[in-house]
Amino acid sequence: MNRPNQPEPQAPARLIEDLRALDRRALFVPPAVDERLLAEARRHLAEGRSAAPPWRVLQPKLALAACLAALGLLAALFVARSPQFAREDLNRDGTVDIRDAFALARILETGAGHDRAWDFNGDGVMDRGDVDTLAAQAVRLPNGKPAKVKEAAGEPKHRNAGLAKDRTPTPEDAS
Amino acid sequence: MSRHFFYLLAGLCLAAAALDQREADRAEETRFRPVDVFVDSGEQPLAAYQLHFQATAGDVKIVGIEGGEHPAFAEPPYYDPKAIQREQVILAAFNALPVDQLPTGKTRVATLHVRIAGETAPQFEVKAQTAASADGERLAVTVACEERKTE
Repeated sequence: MNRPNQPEPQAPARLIEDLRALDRRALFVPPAVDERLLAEARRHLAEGRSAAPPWRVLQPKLALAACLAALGLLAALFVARSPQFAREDLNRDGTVDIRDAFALARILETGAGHDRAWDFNGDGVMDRGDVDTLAAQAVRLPNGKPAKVKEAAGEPKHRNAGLAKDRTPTPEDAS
Repeated sequence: MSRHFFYLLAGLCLAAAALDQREADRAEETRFRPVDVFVDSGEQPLAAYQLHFQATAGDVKIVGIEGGEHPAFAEPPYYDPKAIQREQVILAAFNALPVDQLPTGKTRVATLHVRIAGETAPQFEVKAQTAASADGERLAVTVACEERKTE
């Protein structure tokens, strides 16, 4: 129930005077207290920073790992899509044939360059024997094994050295 | 008893004679023939070739392989030794001689010696697998084979 006709209550005059005097008093705060408060505030802020959740700390590393994984996947896809050539397929036409042996022979003759991957007979030397091994692979019958290339010591290297140089059976032999 | 034994002996002799004659006939049916293999590279010098030869009819066995007529391919070509006594072979050869020393046109690159048995006429098939010019580039060629006529 409101009683609008009644006057507002008044505070005692002495109380009003004391409160006004309180506002006018200078409050002294020692510098040590300021410094301590400042130090406490800094420590609190530092704790707040280090108290971030672990996933937030790991977030950049996870992003980097994801990027690397994506790059690796792309590289794997690229390699899988790119044609794979046999080591013997020197001209990269998808077939190991006499043209590869011919290419290797020309490289060896011109000295255009040597690649250890061309040591097809595994003797540690790139020479005519590797050409013969490559040619032997080219003429291998579907269910046959690579022909062994014989190399006679001291024998001059011929164009068709190796298996084709071997004496072939004659009708007289067969009869 | 002795008469039966005589008939039995005579029968055995006749059978043996018949078998012997059959073997003789079979031996006469077996013959050896050379088959020439040709490569035609047109106007381009032939530096390398690879072809597949196969007997498609008849009882044919390869018994020998020798080189061709041109000096560049006079040596026996590369082949799988397992092809001997079989009916098919892959032949290949190359030569890195200068262009003016390589054959052009149709040239005999190899000769195969085959043993033919039986009365079935043999048929041969040869297919070019690849060929190259002096610079190693792929070359279009035609190949053929032909049984050499012998007296």
